[in-house]
Amino acid sequence: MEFFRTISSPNDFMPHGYCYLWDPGLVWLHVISDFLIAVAYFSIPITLMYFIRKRKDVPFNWIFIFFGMFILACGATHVMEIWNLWHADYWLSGGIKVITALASVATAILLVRLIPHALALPSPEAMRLEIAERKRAQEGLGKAKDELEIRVQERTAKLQKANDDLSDEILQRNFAEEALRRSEERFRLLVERVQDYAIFMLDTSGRVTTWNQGAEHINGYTAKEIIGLHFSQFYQAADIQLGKPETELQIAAAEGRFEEYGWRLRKDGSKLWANVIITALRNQRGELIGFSKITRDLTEQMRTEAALRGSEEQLRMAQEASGSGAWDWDPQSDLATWSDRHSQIFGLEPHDVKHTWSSFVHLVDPEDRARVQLAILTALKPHGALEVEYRINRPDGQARWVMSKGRTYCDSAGEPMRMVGLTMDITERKQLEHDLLRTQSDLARVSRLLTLGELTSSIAHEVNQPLVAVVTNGDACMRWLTAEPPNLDKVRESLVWIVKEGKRAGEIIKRIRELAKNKAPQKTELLVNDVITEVINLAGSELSNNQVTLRTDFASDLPIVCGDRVQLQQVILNLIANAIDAMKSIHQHPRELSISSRATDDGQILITVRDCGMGVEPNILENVFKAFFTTKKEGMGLGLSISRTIVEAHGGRMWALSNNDQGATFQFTLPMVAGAHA
Amino acid sequence: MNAVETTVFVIDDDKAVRTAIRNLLESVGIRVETFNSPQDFLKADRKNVPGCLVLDVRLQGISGLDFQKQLAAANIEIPIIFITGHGDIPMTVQAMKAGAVDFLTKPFRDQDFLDAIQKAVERDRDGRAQEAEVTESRRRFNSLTPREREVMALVVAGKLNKQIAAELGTSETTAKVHRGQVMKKMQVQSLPDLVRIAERLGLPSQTC
Repeated sequence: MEFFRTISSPNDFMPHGYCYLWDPGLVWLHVISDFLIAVAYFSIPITLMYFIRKRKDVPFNWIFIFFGMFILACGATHVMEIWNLWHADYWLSGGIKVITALASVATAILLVRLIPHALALPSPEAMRLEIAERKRAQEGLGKAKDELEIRVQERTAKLQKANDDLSDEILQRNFAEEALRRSEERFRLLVERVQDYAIFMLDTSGRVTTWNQGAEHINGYTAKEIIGLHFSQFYQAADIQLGKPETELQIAAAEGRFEEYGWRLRKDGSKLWANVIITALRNQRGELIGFSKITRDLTEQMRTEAALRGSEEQLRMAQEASGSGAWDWDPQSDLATWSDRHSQIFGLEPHDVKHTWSSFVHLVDPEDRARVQLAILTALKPHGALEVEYRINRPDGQARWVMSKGRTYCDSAGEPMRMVGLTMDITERKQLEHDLLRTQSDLARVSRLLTLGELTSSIAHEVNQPLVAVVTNGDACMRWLTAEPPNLDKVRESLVWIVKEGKRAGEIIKRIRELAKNKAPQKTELLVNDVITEVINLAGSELSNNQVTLRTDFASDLPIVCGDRVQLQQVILNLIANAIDAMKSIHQHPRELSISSRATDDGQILITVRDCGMGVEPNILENVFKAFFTTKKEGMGLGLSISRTIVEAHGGRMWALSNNDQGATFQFTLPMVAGAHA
Repeated sequence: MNAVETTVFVIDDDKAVRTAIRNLLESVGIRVETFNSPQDFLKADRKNVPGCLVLDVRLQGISGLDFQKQLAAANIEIPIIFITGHGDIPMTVQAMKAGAVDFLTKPFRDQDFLDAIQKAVERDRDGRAQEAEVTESRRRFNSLTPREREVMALVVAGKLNKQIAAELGTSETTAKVHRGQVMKKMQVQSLPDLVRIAERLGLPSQTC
């Protein structure tokens, strides 16, 4: 207490009670009054606080805070009045008054400013009137509300029902929408991922609005590049000039759909042959909303078709040109289809188009049937090819030669499914071939006779030799018989020789007769070395006569060839005769003729006749094989020509070479019989 | 015919023919050797006995006539009988000129052939005798001195001793002695014999 007094009352001033002369009445008057004032003042801010907390809607409520503050400060001054009665803390009292003054002044100023705003607030009277009016209205409304209430309740019940129905429907619709969404998604993916078709949409003006992968694949543009661009981008300049893109849209708009095949351009400028379908898209009200465009790239197909058409055309032309008829046989069902021309070749009406194996075979000449059937059956395998010439007997009694060529088509299992081919009438060719063969044969004989004529002395010698042996042995035989005593062993020996040589003479004459005879060529299996040896036996003395040394080099173990003995002998005879002629004028060196035979690597037999005569100029090596070409004074120029014809008829080749040193070499080949070995 | 001492050679490339010829010749007892070609004949080791050669005109690689020339060139003296398939007059003439004994056309009569063979063998025998004589004469001639050869040449030329002496610059007596020596060494009795030998030896005969 002492401490407090020291601080609050430095004893400089007198407590205020002194002014009242400590008159208890006066002091208490002040004390009680100040106390009541202070209590009242302190209670007001509390009440105000309470008020503004409760009535937050009161405008300008912040002013109550100021009121509170300055009333609180006023209360504090009154408390200080009481305190100062006993304690002379006038500085403290003054400080509180300063605070009170500041709060009061501030509040006063704010209040002044606030007044216009406060005046704008409706007055309680106006409020009251308005409230009254509202009240009346409210009462009206109340009545209406009641009526409504009833109706609302009714409607609510209906709505509830509708709502429930709707909920059901919404649920169902959600399901449907989900399904639709999924389906649309699938459809979108489908369209987008289609590679082989460009599927895209155009707006009504022809601008691209969608773009699928197929479009990118076919046209080369990515979606990003093309969307928004006009679809005339895909047309050639000439088409654009003709207004084709627009025309197409117009047609599509008018008729709903436009389709054409035409050339379009890719992004890189290359052309594609396309099938284009433009479809107009309309909404439910029938308004045009755009177009869908589907493009198919048919470039490859068109090329293939063009090629196919080309080859079909060629085939048709080839068939017409060759006069051949087409056939198509299904070995499984044994049904064949014949073209009109094919039927015609077989002497049938064009409508006879359906045939079978047996109906066909029936038309084949009986002599050729087995061969034809074997040829067909042999070709009836994967990649099997048929080529057979045969005679047919047409229903009109005509016999014709035909050639059928065909190919077999098999399934993957190798089962023949089709055999397709052509048949042509080769009767005339066969006749010509026959005539030619006969002419050749005649000519060959003439040539043979000429060659034989040249070799007369040689042939005479060949016949004479065995006769010499016969006669001489006969003479000897007589002497052995007449000897004393007769030497019968020698007699027998002589007779053996006589018989042998007599036969030899007969053989030689037979061979010469064969060469001279006009006999149709007949192919048999031969050993080339035998054929050559026989000719050498005939012409050998001609060689001796002309001081020609013969060297032979025959390969042993040569395969068999198939040929006409007489014709092949003629070839060799001719070559030997030519060689002798070529060496007649040669005196400066020995005359040598070498004849050799050997097998070549490619399955042929090569026969070589080489002389050392005057030779053949390299530039006329081929001419020597021409008919009537000769370097000899007496020659006809047919020998080599005929020889080559004969060799070629045997499936071989014949040619001449000029030797490096002297003379010429003639060679020819003969095919060996497959698989045959001597 | 002395068969033992003679051999007939046959060249023919036809085995039947050469065997037939062998058969015929053997039937009359003549020894025969046959050859397929002239080469075989040349290569063979032949006995040096009288005989002859039967040759076909046509031979492989060489004609019989050419072979005849070859033999002459090689100093192989053997009488040749040609046989040929066809009588070719010019060829015959050529062969005979070249010294062929005969030229027979096949088939020949056996007797003609055997006659030809006999003739040929005789000719060979004569030839061989002459050949022997010449060889002896040459041996004798080679024994003469050079002077004697000179004298012989003059004698054969018909010169008298006096002429020989004058020519050789010697006395007539000396010439006479030389002449006597020549006649003695050459074993001749008469001048004609000496002349004949000189001719055979092919000495140059000097005539006046």
